[in-house]
Amino acid sequence: MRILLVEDDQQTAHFIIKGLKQEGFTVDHALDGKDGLHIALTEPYDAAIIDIMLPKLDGLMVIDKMRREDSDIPVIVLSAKGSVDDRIKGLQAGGDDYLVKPFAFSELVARLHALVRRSTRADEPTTLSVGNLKMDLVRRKVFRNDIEIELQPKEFALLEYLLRNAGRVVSKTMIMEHVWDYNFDPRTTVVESRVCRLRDKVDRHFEGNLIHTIRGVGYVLEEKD
Amino acid sequence: MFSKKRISFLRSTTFRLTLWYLVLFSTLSLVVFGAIYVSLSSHLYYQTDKEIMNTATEFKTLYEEQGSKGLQAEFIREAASRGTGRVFFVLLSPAGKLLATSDVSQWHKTEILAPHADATPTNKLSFQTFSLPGHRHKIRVVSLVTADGKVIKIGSTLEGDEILLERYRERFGMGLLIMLVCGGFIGWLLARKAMSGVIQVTETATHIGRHKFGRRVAVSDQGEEINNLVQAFNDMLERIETLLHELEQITDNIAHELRTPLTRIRGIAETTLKGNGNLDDFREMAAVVIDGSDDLIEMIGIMLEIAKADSGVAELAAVSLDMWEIIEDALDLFTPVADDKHITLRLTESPRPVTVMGDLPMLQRLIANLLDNAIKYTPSGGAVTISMTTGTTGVKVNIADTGVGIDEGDIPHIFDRFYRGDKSRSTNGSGLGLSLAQAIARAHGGDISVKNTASGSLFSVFLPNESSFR
Repeated sequence: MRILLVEDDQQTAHFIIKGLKQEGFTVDHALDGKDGLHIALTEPYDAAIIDIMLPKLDGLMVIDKMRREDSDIPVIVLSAKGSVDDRIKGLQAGGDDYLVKPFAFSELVARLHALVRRSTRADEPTTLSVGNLKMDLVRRKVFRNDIEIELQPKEFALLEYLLRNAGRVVSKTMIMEHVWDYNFDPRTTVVESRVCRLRDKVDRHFEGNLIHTIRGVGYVLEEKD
Repeated sequence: MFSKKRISFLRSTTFRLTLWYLVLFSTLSLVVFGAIYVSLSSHLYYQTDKEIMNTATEFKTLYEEQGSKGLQAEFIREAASRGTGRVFFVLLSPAGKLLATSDVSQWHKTEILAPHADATPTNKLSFQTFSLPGHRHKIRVVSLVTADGKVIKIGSTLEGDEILLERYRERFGMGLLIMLVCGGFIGWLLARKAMSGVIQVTETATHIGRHKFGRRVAVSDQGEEINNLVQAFNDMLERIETLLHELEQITDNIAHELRTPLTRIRGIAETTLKGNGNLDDFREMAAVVIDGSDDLIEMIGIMLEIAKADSGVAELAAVSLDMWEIIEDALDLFTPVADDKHITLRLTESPRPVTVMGDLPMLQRLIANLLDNAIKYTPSGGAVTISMTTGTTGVKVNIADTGVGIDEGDIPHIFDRFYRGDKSRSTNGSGLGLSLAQAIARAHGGDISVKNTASGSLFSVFLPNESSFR
């Protein structure tokens, strides 16, 4: 996937490019709003990451002009400001998602995937699976090795979120946001406790763990050798 | 902070007050003078007119009794007795011929001695006033027509009246001048006295701006207005001093709270870098660095949230929300944590919809912070109970725990930023959770209270309902 990054801070840009390349993205980088707008309008991209505070042309203006030129590249807005007002401004200008600095890198990746998936309008699957773990989204049932696992509604939602992001690390903040609709991380053990319970049901009685903790970052659901 | 301004004298309130005082004072004086002057002069002229009228009537009687010969003798006698150049008497024929006259050498004959322009009816008097060249004062002339058509004319100088009025004007002018000088001086003294309180407050303010906020303006008896000003000013200083103190305290606390995770981050990075660790050690370091950074980011985030909540209701994106739903969600979120600690987490009533006006993420956070706090300080085997009471003005959410309770001495400070009671020092946390909870409750027009119960502590959150909101 080809991503456009418009970010004036070299160090931030460096770590984003490095991280995205590790995740298999191709990244083009523009240092200011004017260049960014030009590239965005001339080259095809799957998504763009645009900082708000930019020299020459600010990020919101870039998005606004892109939308006026009928460019429908999905855009993630980056900002150092986190108030609701700024968020609304970013989305009103035509941004598709909003991320406040400093952010967890895994969150940026997850959001990028979500955006691209949304824009390509892939058919909604009826089942999700990783290895021998299967989730039936229609009947709301989970099986491992064809043995049904009983889950509480929130546990089901948590597993569904992990499955949808299978192979990618999701942070506690993202889990709070998607499973509980809390847009903050209470910095308590609420997520750990819940994941712990889920693990008991999904992994404990089966061969090979699927839910892994990445210390300091979050959780990932994947088959490991 | 303050720069000492030299007050320009012409722009000072003292000067303006004095000027106003003088303008008003002199205007009033001039009005009074004018009124007296008008009444005095009309009285004087009336007296003069009456006198010459009487004389004219007397002459007329004499003429009718003794004819022009007798009148001539009387004219001369009378003129001499009144003094040279002060009066003249003439008797004219209807054609203007002089029939009898006093000494008129000093008078300008043609104008005065001409018969009266109007045909004056018999026995009627007519008055005229002349200014003559060579005469400083005006002349009042009365004409009286006798029964046989002759005209008696009497002229009298207004010298006496005019000199009197002139004196009056001079004296008044002098008086007014003296009064203005004295009055101005007194007015200035009074204004300065009235302003001295203000000047004192200004001087203290200037001084405080440069030095310490601990100083106060001394309350002296300068009058109610100045005392109120001093009081208001001192109250403001009190608040500034408290705020500065709090700011200092908070800055200290922030610095302290920042140091702890930064020390952790720096420490592990340095030891890992210097050691001969393997990849796992480096992974461990990275995890600690991320964790420490997240703590810092979270702390900054909460500080900003508190500041935002403190800025008040205006900033809230308030919508109609079901408080029970928020509580149930929070309960669901915290149940596994409570289970891990073997704490019973329960609602005392069955759910029912209770509407409040508020900002959803903020209220979620308020309840989450209080639940987190309750679970944190309740020992294993205890219980955390949530109940809700609805009144006419709003709802009250009560969160009771069977925890360690709060030292009475800590209760007034428990919501202060970064405050940690002795009992909570050993647990981790930013010391900001309750401050944020309180700030959120207050931003919604409510509040949080806390008290110790027989079994632990009880936090009560009051939130106004839709009709009492704002």
